Amino acid sequence: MVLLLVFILLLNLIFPSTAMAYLDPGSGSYFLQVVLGLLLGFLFTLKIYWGHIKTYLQKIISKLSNRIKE
Amino acid sequence: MVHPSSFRDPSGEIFLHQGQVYRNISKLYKENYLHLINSGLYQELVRLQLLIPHKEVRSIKSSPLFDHFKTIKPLQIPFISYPYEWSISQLKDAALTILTIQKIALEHQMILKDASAYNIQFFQGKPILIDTLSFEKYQEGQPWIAYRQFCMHFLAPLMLMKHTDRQLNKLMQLYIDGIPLDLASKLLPVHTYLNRGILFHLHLHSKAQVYFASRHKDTKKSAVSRRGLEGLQDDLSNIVEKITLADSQTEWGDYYNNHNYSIKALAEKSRLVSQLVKQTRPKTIWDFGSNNGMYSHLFKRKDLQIVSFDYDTQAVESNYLYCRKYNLVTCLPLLMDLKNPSPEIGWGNQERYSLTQRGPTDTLLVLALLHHLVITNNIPFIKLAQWFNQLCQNMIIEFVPKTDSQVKKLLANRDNFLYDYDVEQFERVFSKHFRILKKQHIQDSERIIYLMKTRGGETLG
Repeated sequence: MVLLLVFILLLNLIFPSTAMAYLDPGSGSYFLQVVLGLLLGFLFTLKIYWGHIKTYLQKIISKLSNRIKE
Repeated sequence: MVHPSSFRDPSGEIFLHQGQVYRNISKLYKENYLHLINSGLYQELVRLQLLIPHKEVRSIKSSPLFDHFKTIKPLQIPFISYPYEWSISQLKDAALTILTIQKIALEHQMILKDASAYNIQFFQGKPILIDTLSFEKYQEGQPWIAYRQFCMHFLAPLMLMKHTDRQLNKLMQLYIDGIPLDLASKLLPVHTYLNRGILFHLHLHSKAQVYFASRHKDTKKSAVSRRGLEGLQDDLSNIVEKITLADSQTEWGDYYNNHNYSIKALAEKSRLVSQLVKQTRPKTIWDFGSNNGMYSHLFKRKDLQIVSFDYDTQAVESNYLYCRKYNLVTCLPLLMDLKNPSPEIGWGNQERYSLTQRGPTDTLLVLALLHHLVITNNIPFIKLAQWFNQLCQNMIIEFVPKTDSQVKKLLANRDNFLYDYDVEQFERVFSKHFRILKKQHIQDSERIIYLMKTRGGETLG
């Protein structure tokens, strides 16, 4: 579904139409947000987990370096 | 009296009562208002200086049919400014304020239902949300209804200023509901299609509007997860954070490194201006043609409001960044072309104030500006005196004679300049609208500074 919507949007980008967006500019924003929500939500989740992993790794590294110093 | 701009949202009404701004909240909004207060969101946003503080007061009727729940009195904003008067960093800070509020609101189970740039005002040097009724309770799966408005009011003008021309925030004056995304997409250079943020939120957004406009889709079937909303907010914040203006030289951006004052004359002028301003005991000062705000920055009293106007985008940007860096919270730099100042715009020409309507100010500074308006722009002394008279109680104005090297430059290619540009004519004309209280020559220069008081009803001649 997501890929299909992205494909349709990209296709439309290449072959722009002159539909009357002033009739309902809200639907386009809504559906784009649905697609972006999935994509950006996924990336945001990765960002949060990457943050956790980084913090975890930093803790391990600092512990190891402390042991080496001792 | 209900404010002419207060009609778009049935949640409340803005009105003036005894010269003060109040807001009535309708019963329709009761649940959301109580959640805003009881969830701690209001307190958190006020603590962070992101939302205008208010007091609940006794009920005041604003209009006969209004379904009244509560009356609140918000903190009074001394000077209302508009997005088409802001430099790129001002608009950027305003955008980040909206996104930060959206993030904190979600943490309190609320969401911003609008993202209008007109809901942001600068108070004590910082952008602040003035619409207390912009929040609604968040329902899982609901999209950010204000996403399109955010792109039209903030992202489009910011990207146009960055990638096309820094003066394009003036489009906001033409399009009161924000810059249409199809127009923004057309005006942005082709290389912005390679910028992921611009591609998604402006180019694709504009195409999606066109594509779905003629196709009836049931929006209720699709949802945006909370994580999706957080991702969208985070992405927009990252995009806006990265916006900076390349430091290119404009006509006035470097004026104070390229003028004809001696060091002594410059110091003397600053001393004179300070002294004369003190005599007027102002609460508000407008500084016309302020350039990078050198004279606006002389006044640091916390209870003063200085509005520092210039038409050069780089000068206003530098002024804002300086004020932000050195915490000069009383100074508000704004873009303003005095030859064509902000008019009344919006529904019935009443939604947004003109510059003249936002006056009068206690003290008006017109320093090293008059000769440009008269010689370069052919505005006669009488027109200037008439308008300045409407704008202020007191005026400190500098006259630069024809013998000054800067004026000589202006006149060099002006064989057709016919006005009597001399000090006698200046005094004669301005005396019709002002009383000249003081006249002092700036040492080590040929320039003269005047302190004048408006004649009000007693205009001569």
